[in-house]
Amino acid sequence: MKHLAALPRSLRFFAEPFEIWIALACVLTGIPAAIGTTRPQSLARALHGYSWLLHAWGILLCLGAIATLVARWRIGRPQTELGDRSARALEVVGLVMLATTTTVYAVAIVAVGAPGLAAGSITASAAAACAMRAWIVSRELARERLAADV
Amino acid sequence: MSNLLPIIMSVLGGGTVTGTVTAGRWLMDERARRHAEKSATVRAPLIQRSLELRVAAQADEILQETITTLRQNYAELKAEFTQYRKDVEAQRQRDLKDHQRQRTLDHEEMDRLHQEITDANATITQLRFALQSSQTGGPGP
Repeated sequence: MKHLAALPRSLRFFAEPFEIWIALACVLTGIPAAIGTTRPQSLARALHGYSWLLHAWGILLCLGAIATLVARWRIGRPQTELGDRSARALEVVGLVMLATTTTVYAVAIVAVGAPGLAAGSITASAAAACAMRAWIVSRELARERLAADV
Repeated sequence: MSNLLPIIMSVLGGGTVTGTVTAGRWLMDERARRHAEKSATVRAPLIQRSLELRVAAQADEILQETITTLRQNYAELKAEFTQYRKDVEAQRQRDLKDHQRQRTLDHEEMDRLHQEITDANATITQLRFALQSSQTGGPGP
C-alpha cells in the first residue's frame, strides 16, 4: 500500500479503481434484489421457487459491496498499522462476498445458454478478479501477521 | 434449471465458509486495533507525564551541571586572584627592597660626597691659611 502516499488524498479512495466501480455497481444491483423490487432475470429463472435465496443473494451482494467500499475508504485515510491491517481484512471479507455472489450470478447467466456466454464471462471475470484480489490481500495480511507475531 | 441449484448452493456454501473465516480474522484484527487504540488513549496522559518528568529531570541535570561549572570557574578565579595578589605582594616587596637598597646606596654616596666636600673644605682652609702665612712672612709650613 506504499503507492497510496504518491496519490492525492482525494484519489486515494480510487487507488484500486476496479474494486470501487464493481462495488458501486454491485450496490446498485444488490439493493433492488434485496428488497425484491427488481431481480436479474437469469438468476430468478435459476432460483425459481427459492425467492428467499434471491433476497439472500441481494443482501450478500450489498454487504460485500459496502464492506469493500468502507474498507477502501478506511485504507485511504491516514491511520495506524493495526488500523490499516483491519481495513484490509475487511476488504478481504467484502471481496469474498462479492466473488461468491458474482460467481453465482455468472453461473446463472451462463446457464441461459449461448446468448449469456459474453455477459457471463464478464461477470465471471469480475468474480475471478475479486477472488484473486482477496487472495493477494489475505497473503499479504498473513505475512504481516506472521512478522508481527515473530 | 433445477440442476443449477446444487451448483449455486455449493458456491454459496463455499463463499459462506470462506467469508466466515475471513470475517473472523477481520474481527480479530479489529479487536486488536480497538484494544491498541484504547490502551493508547489510556497511556496518553501517562506518556505525557513521563515526558514532562523526563524534561524536568534533564532541566535539573543541566542546572546542576551549570552550577558545578560555575563553582569550578569561581574556584579557579579565586585561586588565580590569590596567586595574583601573592605575585603583586612579592613584586611590591622586591621593589621596596630595591628602593631601600638604592636609598642606602644613595645615602652612602651622599655621605661620601659630604665627606669629600668636608675634606675639600678642610684642604681649602688649610691652603688658605698657608697662603696667608706665606704672605705675611710668618713661619712656613
